[in-house]
Amino acid sequence: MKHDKDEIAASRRSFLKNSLVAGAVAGVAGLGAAPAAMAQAEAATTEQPAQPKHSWEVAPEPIAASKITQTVDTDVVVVGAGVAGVFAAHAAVENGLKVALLEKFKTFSCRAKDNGAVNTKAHKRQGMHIDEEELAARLISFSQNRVHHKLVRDWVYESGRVFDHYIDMCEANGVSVEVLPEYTVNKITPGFPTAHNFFLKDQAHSNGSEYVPTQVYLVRVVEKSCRDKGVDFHYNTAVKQLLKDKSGRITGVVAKVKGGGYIQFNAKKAVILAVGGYTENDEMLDAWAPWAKFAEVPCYTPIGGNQGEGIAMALWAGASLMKPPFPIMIHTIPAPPLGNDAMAANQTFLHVNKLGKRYEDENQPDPFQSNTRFMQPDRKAWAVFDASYFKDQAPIKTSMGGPVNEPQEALEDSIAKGMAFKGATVAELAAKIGVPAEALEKTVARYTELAKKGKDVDFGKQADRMFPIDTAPFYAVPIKSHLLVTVGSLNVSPEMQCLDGNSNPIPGLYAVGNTMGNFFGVDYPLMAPGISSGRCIVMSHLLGERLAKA
Amino acid sequence: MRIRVILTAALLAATVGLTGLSAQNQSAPLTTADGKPTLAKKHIDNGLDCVACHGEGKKQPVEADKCLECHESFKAVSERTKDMKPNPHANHLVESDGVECTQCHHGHKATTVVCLRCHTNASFDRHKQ
Repeated sequence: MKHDKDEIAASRRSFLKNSLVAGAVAGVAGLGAAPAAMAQAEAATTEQPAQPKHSWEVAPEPIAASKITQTVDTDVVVVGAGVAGVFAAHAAVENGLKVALLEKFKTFSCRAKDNGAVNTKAHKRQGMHIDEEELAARLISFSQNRVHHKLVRDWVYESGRVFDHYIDMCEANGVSVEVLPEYTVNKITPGFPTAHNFFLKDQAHSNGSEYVPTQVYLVRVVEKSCRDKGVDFHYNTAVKQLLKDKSGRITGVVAKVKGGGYIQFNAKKAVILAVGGYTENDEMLDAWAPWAKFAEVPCYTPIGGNQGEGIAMALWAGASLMKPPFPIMIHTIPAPPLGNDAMAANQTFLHVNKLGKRYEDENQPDPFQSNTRFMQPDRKAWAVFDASYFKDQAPIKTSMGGPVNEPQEALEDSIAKGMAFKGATVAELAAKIGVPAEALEKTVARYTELAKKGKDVDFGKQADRMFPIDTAPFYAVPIKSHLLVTVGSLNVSPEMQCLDGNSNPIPGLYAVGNTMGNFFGVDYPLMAPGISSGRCIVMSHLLGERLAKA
Repeated sequence: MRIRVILTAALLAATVGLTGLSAQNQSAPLTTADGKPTLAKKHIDNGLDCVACHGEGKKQPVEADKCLECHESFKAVSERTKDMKPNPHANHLVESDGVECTQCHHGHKATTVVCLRCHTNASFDRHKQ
């Protein structure tokens, strides 16, 4: 690690000496001939800054050829063995390409439950069908048209075929699949049953309303299949720089083996970046998605897996970023069952801010509850309810996206841990959470009045999600948010090829998974649960197939 | 007050470290800031020396693979902690995120439980009969 720091430091010094960052990409002789390696499109087209604004605008010195102890020639280099990387490698090898898969950690990683796809054989078996055009249109509309329509439509229309292939593979290896019901929240955010859960029959798995991270069973099967089909695995191997030739083509990477030397991988066809997001990189968060830092709980794994160094490498090599705003995934839903109060995001409760005032129709998908809460004083808010909550909520169909009905004893446990609060009166509760008692009493009385009336003239919440708050004791759960992942950064073409600052494709460089921009805009949609992982699987698979044909 | 306690503990630890490990000519602390024995101390008490983990010659940081040379595997370790609920060695980080021993366990300072980053209020108390 010390070694790497020295290199960066050296490059900063040289930056100051040479002024602008040129195409200082490893192994390139004619750096001046390389296209501008500016970090951002704006920088390439408008004025050139005298000083770098961000560390990633400073490309390090190329790693000296003398340090490289081994050279590997292959067709495709996949950087990162998360879901996107494993499936890209698999599709490429399956279609006859020679593939090297590089991962800085000791093994692959994944953590999800839902894998989103449309009209698969699992859907057919369960008698389900999704209207493709409606889903595609809604996804594009949700993203405010800030996406490549082709990327979204490719996922919608190709995911059935791609998933069927992997469902067959899983079932041949004892892994079952089931489509879970859609997340139901409210009438203006309809849900589609896209979530496929892959599971082992004798092991715990979700029935729809709890989170059991079973995706590993799917990825394990595909990782093994990669091995069987001859993917050249390099775990514990961290890519440090991309290689670019005089023509501007990305020709490979230089990687450092943990506890060993540097290997140069030459890629005849493509380098695929599946390097994840930047949730652990404060500087990138500040620059690209500062609101992500409002999330109280960092909730992403593997630790050290989303530091953004792979994104920086692409920027050094001349890739550009997608247009802001950068999409991120923040969920209000906590990480149960280990002690977090699972009811924090319930749409059935009253939400109040620190002034003791109601501020929204609470019946929102939990990620978007963060958006309104972040606008409240000190970004603080609480879900407020009364002693009859369990009975009130019992008839409501619960799901991952909807209200959770937590037993009284779990709630009491949260209260004992200081994560939830209880008061014999509304005023006592107000004192416990530190909001003005009079204001809270007024708000609770008004909410109760509207709930009884069956018409929320203040915020328009649907009547069957509102319950009177008039039975002691009274409860409050602080609403918090978890930052899960960033779901896009690099500017890509509709074919997933990285683009330079002038929107020209960079030959040989592609981005998939959370590294690929232009698939999501602004926020992560909950209407198609598992679409993030589904996108990793489907788009990576399509890229592998297309590279084989190219 | 809290700072003073920590400082005292650190001083004490440093002193103990200096004397206690003089045989190995090392100065690693034997107690953590909160007064518990460090992993290094536990290993020394079990008859190991610094070299057992750090290797000969220039002091090497201990990689997780080294831990598993003796502690076998996550599966084996999870058997030994199965009285803990939840079991810190059998979960999604172990199954599919390649968590390393050294992300939680440190030789010369207190354990940092990575689970708590997301599962903020989880507790990993032992429930031994």
